[in-house]
Amino acid sequence: MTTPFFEVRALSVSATSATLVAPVDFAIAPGRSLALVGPSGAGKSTIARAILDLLPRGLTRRGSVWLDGVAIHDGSGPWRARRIGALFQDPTTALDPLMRIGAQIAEVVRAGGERDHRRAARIAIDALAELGIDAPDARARQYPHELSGGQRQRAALARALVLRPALLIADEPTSALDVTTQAQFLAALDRRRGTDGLAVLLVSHDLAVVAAHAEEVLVLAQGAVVERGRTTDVLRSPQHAITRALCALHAPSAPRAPHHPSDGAPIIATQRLTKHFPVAAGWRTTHTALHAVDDVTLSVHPGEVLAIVGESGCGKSTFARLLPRLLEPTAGAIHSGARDVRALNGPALRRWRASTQLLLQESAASLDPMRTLDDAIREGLRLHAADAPHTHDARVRAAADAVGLGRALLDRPPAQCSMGERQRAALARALVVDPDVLILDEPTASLDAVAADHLLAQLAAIQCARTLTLIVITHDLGIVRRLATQIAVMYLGRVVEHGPAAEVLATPAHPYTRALLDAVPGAAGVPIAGDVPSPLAPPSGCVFHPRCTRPDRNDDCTRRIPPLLDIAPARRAACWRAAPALPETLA
Amino acid sequence: MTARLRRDPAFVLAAAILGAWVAVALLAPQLAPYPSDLQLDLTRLRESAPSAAHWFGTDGVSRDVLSRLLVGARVTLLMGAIAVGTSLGLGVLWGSAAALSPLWLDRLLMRTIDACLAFPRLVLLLSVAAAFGQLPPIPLAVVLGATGWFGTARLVRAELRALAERSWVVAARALGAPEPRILRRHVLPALVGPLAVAASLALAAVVPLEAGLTFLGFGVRAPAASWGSLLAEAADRPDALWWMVLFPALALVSVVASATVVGDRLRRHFDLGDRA
Amino acid sequence: MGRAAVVRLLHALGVIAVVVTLTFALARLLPGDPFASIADHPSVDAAWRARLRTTYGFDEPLLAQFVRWCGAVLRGDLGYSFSAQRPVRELLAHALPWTLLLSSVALTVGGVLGIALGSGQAVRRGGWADRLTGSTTLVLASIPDVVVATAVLVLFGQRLRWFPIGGATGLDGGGAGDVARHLVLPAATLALLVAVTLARFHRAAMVRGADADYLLAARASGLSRWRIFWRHALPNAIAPTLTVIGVLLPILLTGTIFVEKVFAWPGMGSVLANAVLARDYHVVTAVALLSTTAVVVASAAIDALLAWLDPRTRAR
Repeated sequence: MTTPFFEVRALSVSATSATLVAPVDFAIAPGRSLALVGPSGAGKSTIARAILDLLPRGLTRRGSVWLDGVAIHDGSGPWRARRIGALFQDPTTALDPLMRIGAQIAEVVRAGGERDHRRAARIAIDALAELGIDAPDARARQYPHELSGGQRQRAALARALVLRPALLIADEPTSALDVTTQAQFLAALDRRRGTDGLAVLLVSHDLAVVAAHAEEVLVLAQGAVVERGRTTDVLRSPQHAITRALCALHAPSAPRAPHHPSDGAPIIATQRLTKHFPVAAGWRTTHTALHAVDDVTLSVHPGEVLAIVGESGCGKSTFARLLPRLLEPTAGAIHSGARDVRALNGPALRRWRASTQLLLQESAASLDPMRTLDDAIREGLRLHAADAPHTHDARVRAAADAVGLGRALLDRPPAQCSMGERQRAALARALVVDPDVLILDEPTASLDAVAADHLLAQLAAIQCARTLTLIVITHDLGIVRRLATQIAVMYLGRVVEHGPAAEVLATPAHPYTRALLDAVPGAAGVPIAGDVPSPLAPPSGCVFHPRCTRPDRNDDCTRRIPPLLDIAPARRAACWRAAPALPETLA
Repeated sequence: MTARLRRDPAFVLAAAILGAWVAVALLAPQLAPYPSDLQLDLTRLRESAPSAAHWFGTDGVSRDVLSRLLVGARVTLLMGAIAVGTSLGLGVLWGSAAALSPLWLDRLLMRTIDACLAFPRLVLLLSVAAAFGQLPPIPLAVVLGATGWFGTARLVRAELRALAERSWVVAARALGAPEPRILRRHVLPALVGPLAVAASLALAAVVPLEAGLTFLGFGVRAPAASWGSLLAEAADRPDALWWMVLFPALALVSVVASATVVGDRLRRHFDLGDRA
Repeated sequence: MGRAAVVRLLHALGVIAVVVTLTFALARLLPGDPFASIADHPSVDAAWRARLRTTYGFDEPLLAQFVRWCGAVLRGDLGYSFSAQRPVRELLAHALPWTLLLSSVALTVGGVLGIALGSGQAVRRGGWADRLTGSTTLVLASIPDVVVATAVLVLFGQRLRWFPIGGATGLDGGGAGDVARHLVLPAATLALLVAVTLARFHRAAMVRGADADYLLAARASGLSRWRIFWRHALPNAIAPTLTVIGVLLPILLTGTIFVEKVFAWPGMGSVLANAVLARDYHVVTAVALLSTTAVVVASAAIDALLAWLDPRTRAR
């Protein structure tokens, strides 16, 4: 095909006073995929909306958009709607909560010209089935809240594709999804590219997704294209600083070897740590328990970097809050050396919390909006430092320097700082009290790729310089590769595998660990099906058995809970089939 | 964060109007062209329409309406302030008591608030009026405040409960700060915003209510003069005495609309959504 | 009826129990009793008052009085109006239909008008029509209800004489047409008060929901603006608006009292205002109890409706 069938020529977007997107040109051929990447605020979504004529009031578009040799203008709404499908970021609002799924898709079919209601409903169900959604008839009759996030996003994809458009514009379609559901979604999308010759304009901040699912890439920064080309070329030798920063986050780096041999006393050790949340349910508010953390036995040695990996709802954030006792465990023990952490109270408990600093998931929001960054960092010193207040100035500045926070920022309230700056201030606040252990809950969740890369580099440097012990809670295996010396994989509140990072990543023993690795964009594996079950009613036996793909699984798996057992030196896994040398006495 | 509000023309205008009225109330005797109670000329200046000498006209006993309006600002705003203060005080007390109580007591306190919220405020006020008959302005303002604090109590409780889970509060706990210090440094200051919203909206509710009560004959009585009583004096022939209706009504609208705008913008600013 | 609706009903019953207790407390905590107000009457001497107090049980312990009062309320016995010289129940039975007529017409007209105005503003938000409507509703909502009512009364009733005023019927007590003509001005006033308040809340609800991805997707997939508005934007904004109506009910009742008083509409508001002037205790208490209970029941009904409308709560 000589003329690309979708083409954007000199498209620019401006507000009354400023240009938001400088003129940009690109083209996509059928069955191909082009990605717009860049840090937040680069103008990626603005371009997508400009093509769809969905710009917010006050923004004007210039330039032209061509589809099959026809220029799209303001009046070509219905025609454009049939030829271009659109999908947006947030699965929670992707579908109208008050309308059945089937009706929402059928509505689009009718807007596309189908008069017959029954036939429209039939087409809607077929569209769901085509995307590999099981029981499409039943799904069509359900409301969006009855579906999981991944199913909802696939239903939204079905709606976007039901008119068989030539082009799909997908604006961060998977950034709110877990890794395994993201893999399911992207696989479904790739199938449609192959079968229908669907062209895709993918807006993403995640280069790993782009690398695996787009042939061409446009890197944007501050509304202008800074680099473009074939994805493989751009990723192999990024030219622009922004691209290099984006690439660094997911550069295939070798996992780190353990810093110290894991002998000696652990700095934190949990035994059968359990947290159940009571949930009011039923007529007489009988309480069922949400099994957030179940029977977790883990130890961390000084200088280690332990990554706790798992999808949302696996209990890793709860576990992070149990360690400094911001939540009280339901059962189990926490020890630090000879100290029984659960017995601490009053000033001793507060000292324990200071020595085991937790950086919250939304740590950018964890700064009091009424106080300056300086005030926030200083608070820990006021509480715990024995030295005179006049030395605090120097320590605050030192902490700010260590995390790369400019001193000019210190006098500002958080609202006047970027997310990355706030995140670094929260890190400085945690570091200024010289903790022994730093727990980071999804440290890069609210950051764009450049800021995330920056933060991870600083974390690695600080960890080496101070031989700090880190516990990193994350769902992102890229972060794991960069930082971790040890990995613990959690699923439905339980640790299913634990061991040195390099070994676990190279030879995963538990099928769930393997599924996580297969779900990484670009991995060769087939994504596993299904969603994480509700922690209110975990499956019997091995909690993973409904999604397990091991050919040798058997009745044991559905009946008995596998314990976390040694399978090799320093490696443990909770799988009946992963430990062939299981002693008969235990089995 | 206040910079965003300062750039909002509607907020600035509304706040300026409220500030101007406070200044007027403080300086009323100096600003008023005539003594507000002086009957200028009962034979020739009764009910005269606005003129160069009397911009807002004169009333039935030949008093200057402009002067009475300026001095009336004192009564109206003082009553408003007292009523708002009373309702905030009661609301904070009840709301924080509920937030800090064990679950059963919290439920009982909030059920009571639900019931109180269902009482039409005027019915409560009229019940009090039936019991006490005529009240002087300041006790009346206290009663006005005492019938309007239920929403504030609910707001304070909700905010305190939400603040306990806010990440900067959890972060302070993670840093090892003791609870009283967290309350003092991180929780109470964050309550200022919601309370400012509650105060503006309470003012917007209480000023017309006082006017309405006075209009019906249950509110401010002579010799005290509020804007409501100026309106009430023309209640029988509002069309003939249009200047006695128009100017006090404009004054009322300017205060109430400004308080509403200030409250709305603050609510958006503090991201309170439907809670206030 | 889902479980959510039943839970709401039980909750409403609990609130009504508190309302009954509070009404009793209000009646007893305030100084004076029903017989203090007839003290001026020349034929009533101290001994007679004391006998009255004994007859009506005012010398019993508070708890016993409360129990007796609750029993009486449950039987529908709301006491005796000394100023009207008839049982309170009769007085209210006569007034209640008029108030229901006025407020239901006003709430319907005002509700539809408010939602229409707010929706129109949200659809054209930022434009001149939005700003003009916004400032107009703000100013109208800021004028005390009585002043609005008086202005309407004088302008349309006395000057232009478009519609009759004063009471619900003419002197000859005409039929339905006569009532309808008398209803126009008070109902229009009250509807206006409802509409201006509601328009502001509904606009906010529409604007808050305007950024939802499903609305963007609906536009991108070629649905007509009309259909997006009716099938997606409006239904999703109606729930918060209905909630607001529930919260505003007591405030609307306050407006009803003012409007009834100004137009001499023979409803509960006029009964209340006259009773307060006569310091007729039993009537005031009964109106407080009845109106508050009505508010609780109405907002429970709204909540049940909301729970049923939203599939997220309907299932539970």
